[in-house]
Amino acid sequence: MNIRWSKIAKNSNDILLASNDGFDSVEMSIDYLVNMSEEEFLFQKNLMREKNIFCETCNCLLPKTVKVAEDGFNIYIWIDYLKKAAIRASGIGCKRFVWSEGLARLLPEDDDSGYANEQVIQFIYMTCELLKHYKIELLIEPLSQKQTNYINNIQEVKQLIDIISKDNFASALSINNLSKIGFEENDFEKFSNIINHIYLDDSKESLTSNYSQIFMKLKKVNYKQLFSLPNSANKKKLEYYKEIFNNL
Amino acid sequence: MLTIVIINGPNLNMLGKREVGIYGGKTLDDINLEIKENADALHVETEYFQSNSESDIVSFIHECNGRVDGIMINAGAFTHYSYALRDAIASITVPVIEVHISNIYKREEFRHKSVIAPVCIGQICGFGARGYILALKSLLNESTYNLWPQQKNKSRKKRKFLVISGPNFNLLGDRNIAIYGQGIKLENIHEQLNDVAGNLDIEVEYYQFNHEGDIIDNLQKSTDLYDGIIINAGALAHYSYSLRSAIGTTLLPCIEVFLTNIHKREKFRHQSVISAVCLGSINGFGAKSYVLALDALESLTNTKVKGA
Repeated sequence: MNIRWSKIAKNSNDILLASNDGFDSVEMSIDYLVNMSEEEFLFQKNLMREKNIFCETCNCLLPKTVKVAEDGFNIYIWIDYLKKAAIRASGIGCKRFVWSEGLARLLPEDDDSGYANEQVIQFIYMTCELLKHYKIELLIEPLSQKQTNYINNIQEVKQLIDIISKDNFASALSINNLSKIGFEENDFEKFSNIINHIYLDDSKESLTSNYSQIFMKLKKVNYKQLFSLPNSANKKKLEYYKEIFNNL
Repeated sequence: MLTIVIINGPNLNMLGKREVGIYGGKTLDDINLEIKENADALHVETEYFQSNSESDIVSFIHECNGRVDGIMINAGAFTHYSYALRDAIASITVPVIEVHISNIYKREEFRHKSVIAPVCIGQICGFGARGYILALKSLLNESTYNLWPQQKNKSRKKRKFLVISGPNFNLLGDRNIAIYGQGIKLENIHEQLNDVAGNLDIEVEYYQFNHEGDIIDNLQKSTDLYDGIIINAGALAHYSYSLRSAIGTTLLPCIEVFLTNIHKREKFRHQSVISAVCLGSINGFGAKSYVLALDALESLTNTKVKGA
């Protein structure tokens, strides 16, 4: 498979724009997907088919206020919710769900018994088990310690992947976060087999030169997955990234 | 046609807005609609009542007596302290099932005790909206199992569930017959589960162990073999932290069942140390506790559902 370029879409207008701008796919939030009425969903599905674009990735695994590690977190309800999401997502070409929200996996400070940690692991395991039937991967993104206290670097992702032992569990990365999660240059090579999704976003800082270096490393490890751009990305931005990547 | 009443207590009108991690994102209207769709398929008539007022609920329960065939009640926080509600339930002859959306045993300690549990037939907790549907099915007789149509799932191999019964269940039918019933043997329960499994296009494997270590050994091997676990740990449920850890490490969805209403029995049986590592708990429905648990697991793991 070749490199694919995607952008985050929040509504049907974004899908149209993404298609017109030449993106291969869009990335939508699970919440948005689940809360659409059946009619709205069919409209979006048909629109994607018509525009020959699909939704390869869904993000925001759980609604913002939901914390997996909290007492009483209802695994039954939320696995059922993800099932609905997976059914719809697989109908629009989705291949991966990304878990990038820190709050949702924040462990309580006093988790001496490790019970909250166990609960998060069980939730991930059951999510992977569910998603495999829809040929969807679950990708977890390591986040800075400011964002969460659980899975703060790629080494921890690897350890978690070993614990979960599911073929459809891997990692996503945000290029803007690399220094915050202590990601080192040779980690691209070291962990290339588990990095299946990369977020690009230079809207806050100028990283042109860094991107050349990063793309170089990714080419070296034969990265052939997805690059996801923010919602604000347009044709110009897409061409800009493509040019850097293709000219290396 | 049976008439079943669904009563929801305080703050349940706020479902979908409050503590969604625990209660989910569905509103009470969404849940009632789901119950109604299932009830219609089972040819059951349903009525819905929600109130934040204890006295209104008490009066409504009185009014139901002799008029309806069953009640399922999610009394919200009243569950844990309302003796008025308990007395109201005790004063009627209609069978009442206690339902909770969340697994109350995973939550704050004050929620672990239900004052209405001893006067209800049984308790179902932890399965979200599905809990009401299980309660509805618990009020129907066995012949209605074949009214639980499921789509055959050809896209994957059959799902397989592990059913474990703990110490002394080999004596079922002979011991404590006042509590467990006479004549119902564990084999009968297994046969009943086989019938339901056949109807749901799933497989079930059964084991009974008297030794804690045997159960743990079996659980440790279960992760790659099964899609979920139903466990009736018997007395072990009340003290075995080793069992609790073993269930936790399987990572599989596990449902705790009891044949009896444990809240009607000795105090040491009111607490289960394994509840917190289970998705939910079903107790008080005899052999049907197992069947309802199988239904809950089947529904959760069924990846070919309506609307797919």
